[in-house]
Amino acid sequence: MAAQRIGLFATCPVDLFRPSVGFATAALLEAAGFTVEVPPQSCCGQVSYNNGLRDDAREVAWQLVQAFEPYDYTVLPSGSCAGMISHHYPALFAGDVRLPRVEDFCQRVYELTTFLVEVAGFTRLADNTASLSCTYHDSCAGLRELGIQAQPRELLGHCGGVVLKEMTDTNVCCGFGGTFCVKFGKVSAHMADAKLDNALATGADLLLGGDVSCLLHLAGRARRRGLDLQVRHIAEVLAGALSQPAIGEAAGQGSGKGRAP
Amino acid sequence: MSAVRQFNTRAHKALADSQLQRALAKARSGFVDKRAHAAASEPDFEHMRDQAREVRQRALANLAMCLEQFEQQVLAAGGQVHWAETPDDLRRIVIDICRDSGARAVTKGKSMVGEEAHLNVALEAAGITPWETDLGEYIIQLAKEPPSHIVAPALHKTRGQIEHLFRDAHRLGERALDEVSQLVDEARAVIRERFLNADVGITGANMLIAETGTAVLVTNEGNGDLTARLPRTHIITTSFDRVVPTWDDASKIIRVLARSATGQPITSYTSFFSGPRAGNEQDGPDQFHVVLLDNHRSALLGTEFETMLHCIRCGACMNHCPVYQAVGGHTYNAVYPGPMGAVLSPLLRGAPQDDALPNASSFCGRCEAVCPVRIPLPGLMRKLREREQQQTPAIASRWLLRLHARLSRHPALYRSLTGWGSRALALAAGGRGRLRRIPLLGGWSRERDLPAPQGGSFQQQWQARKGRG
Amino acid sequence: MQSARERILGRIRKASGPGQAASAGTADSQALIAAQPAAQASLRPIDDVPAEFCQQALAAGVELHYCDELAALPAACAKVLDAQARLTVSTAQALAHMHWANSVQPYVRGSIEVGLVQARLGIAETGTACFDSRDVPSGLLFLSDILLVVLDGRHLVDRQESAWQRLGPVGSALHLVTGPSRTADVEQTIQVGAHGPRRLVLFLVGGGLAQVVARHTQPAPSLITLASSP
Repeated sequence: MAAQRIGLFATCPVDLFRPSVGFATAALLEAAGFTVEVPPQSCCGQVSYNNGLRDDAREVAWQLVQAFEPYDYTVLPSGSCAGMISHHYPALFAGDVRLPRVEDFCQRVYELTTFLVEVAGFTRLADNTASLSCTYHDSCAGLRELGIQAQPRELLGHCGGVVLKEMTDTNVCCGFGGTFCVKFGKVSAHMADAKLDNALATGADLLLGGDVSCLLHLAGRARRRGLDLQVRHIAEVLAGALSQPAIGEAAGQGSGKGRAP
Repeated sequence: MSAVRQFNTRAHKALADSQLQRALAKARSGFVDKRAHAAASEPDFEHMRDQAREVRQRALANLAMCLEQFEQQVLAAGGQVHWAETPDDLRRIVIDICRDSGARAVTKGKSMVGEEAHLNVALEAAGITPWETDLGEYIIQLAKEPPSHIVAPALHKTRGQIEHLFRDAHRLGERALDEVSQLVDEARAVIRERFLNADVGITGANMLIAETGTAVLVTNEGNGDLTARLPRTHIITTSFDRVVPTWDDASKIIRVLARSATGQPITSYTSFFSGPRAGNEQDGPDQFHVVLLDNHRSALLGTEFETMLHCIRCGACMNHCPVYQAVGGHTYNAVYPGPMGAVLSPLLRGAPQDDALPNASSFCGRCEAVCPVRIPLPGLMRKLREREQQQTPAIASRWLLRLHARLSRHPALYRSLTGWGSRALALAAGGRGRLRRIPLLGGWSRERDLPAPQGGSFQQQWQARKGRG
Repeated sequence: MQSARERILGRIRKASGPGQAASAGTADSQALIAAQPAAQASLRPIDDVPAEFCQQALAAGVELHYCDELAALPAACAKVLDAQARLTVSTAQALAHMHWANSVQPYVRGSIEVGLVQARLGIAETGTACFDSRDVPSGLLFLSDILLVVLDGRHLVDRQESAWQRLGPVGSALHLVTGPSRTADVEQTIQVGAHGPRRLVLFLVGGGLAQVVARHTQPAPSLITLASSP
């Protein structure tokens, strides 16, 4: 039987800032026995949707549906964009003749860690992560729209030697919030500081999350404050793809913790 | 100055206010932990939430009938119902009743509708002294401030600030007021006299029960009962959307109200007031008035915002909101702050399209997750943002958003542009891994560095690799 | 010219569905108001009502005592009550006509040392006592520094809905009292005795509940003295 085909939707922040997360995602899915393809892609429409541009959001969404519906599954390394698709697309197309196609598509869309645990049942994860000390931030949309909480932790448990140190308020927003972080910069930074302080208090070297958007914001704030805390997307750890510097770090910079030996 | 900028000006002041930050920090974990404990220790809690939501839906679906029934029953019990379309109407009705009662001083229980109508200012202007009796309301009355929270009005005050307010107002000399118990006793003694001397008592209502014309009042202090039952006249200022059909329905709201607000299974006092006292009753008012405020609420019925009228005013959404926790209630500059206020306050102003509040949310969804009647608060804020986009002239940021959407509809073009942009930013970072200042992205870079792209977009790199492979 | 009432109700009717057409007082409206949706499964049953009552009352800060019959109450009270304490009662209640070791006076408004009142019912789900304004003047419940509540052990119900059924029509006020008066308005610190009673002492009388109550009582119940206020 031919391998099932996955359309990998990298998401804008991965595409623009952090291709290594896209490659780590592809590597994990291929290792789990799937064929991975990356069709031409742009945005899921969340930016337009959350800023009140519903019509724009619908048309952006439609191009995504058309591009990805031929695949058996669509998988994203982001709870936020996956939540946008599976949670909000059906509402966006309510009363639209395209709704049945959209609904059929949405049922086959998965966030990466959920897909690995619930569909692929994949446990052969990185073995080059000995004594990597991590804390995990639950990004909001993934947590509350998709119920992503146990899945990333279960997967980290399958990585060789990863030590997970839970922080206080792990389920509280980091302050990113899309255009919120630009419109209400100081409030957003205050929220990021609370998150970063909680992460530092665990003594972990590495702050992990499932959304590059939140992580760019957190890493950018951590660098601005000069904190000794590295930030990565969970896919890189699961795939053992730690050769690239952590988010916002220059090559050869940082304590060296959070990088593969 | 734009509404967002005004919000930020207040927010920056709040973030720099160390007293406020201390008070907010105290409140933060307390409310969250207590609600979590209440929810965890009641196996039926999720079921209770569904029941409460169903009550609110059924009440609104039969609203006119419930209200007529309520009114008939109040009249039958010897009370009166007044209808106020605007806050101004409400002020006039209340002051007329006070004057008819010959009132010079009135005790007041906490009423958010009273706050909505700025009732205290109007009473004072009419020569009637309003005495707030809820401890939190009393504190902020002394401070001449509006409430910063719908359940805990003085949440923004520290113990030290409260002590100062009491020292100034009560002429205490050197009497110690170091302990919370001393502060509470101090207020108790002062307010006790007022309960015994007031001519009129004004309270809000947590619910109105249609079947018997009953107003339900929920407190922990007991101030609402003393306000309602000792003076000759009791005025209830509330809004018509508080109505529920039956006593059984009221029970379903009561079960989730205190659990969501303070984590208690029920508050110390839950009282049901049905009309003036009967001849053989020793306490209770001779006159019983219910004033029902509209203030743009009827315009929400049958619209996408109707679910906002399901709100039971528990405050759980603001207790769990990271933005509220950061900046406090006054930053919202509205009677109702926090997530429920970010929806309701603009709607009650009648011109919701020019307001920062629906934008001042990261859409983290925690408010919706804890709302006892499951109001989709982020969804309603998003709808207000849609309204703003439709009804206000476009500004530069919207043209950018629209351009982004345009590009997104053409993935091939998008791919080449992001590929180019990604490389350009990576080059600009010059191996430092991050950018400190980025042209056009000041909103980002004022507070944080921009992590540098790894060089070339994912799509570009993927294509290149597959091309080689 | 339309009144505000007509305008508001008019807007409400216009905005809502067919349910709004029915007028109050019609059979239609009665049916709708009484409608209990079939989909609404009830809450978990409370199997041991007295135990639940005691447990919830205790959690709400109620001090629990028990005596077998009403006639034994004065003696039981005398054991826990400071001899100097003056009791204030409602003349509408039988308690007013019993013989007490302490001095007794009828209720008048003002500050009260110890209010002695009999509750109509107890609600197990929250450890709540119900008072009807026809029996007990509201002020007696809220102006007392210490509230001594007498509750017949056979007058316990599981949930509020059962209480409404048992009570039938009530006076101009029905007060549900759960523990002492409290506030958290100063830095979210819970402090009892905000405006009402600083202590709520509850005597369950009869119903064979001695053992249940004993399980929910502090090992050494404190003497009820007036100096007990903080």
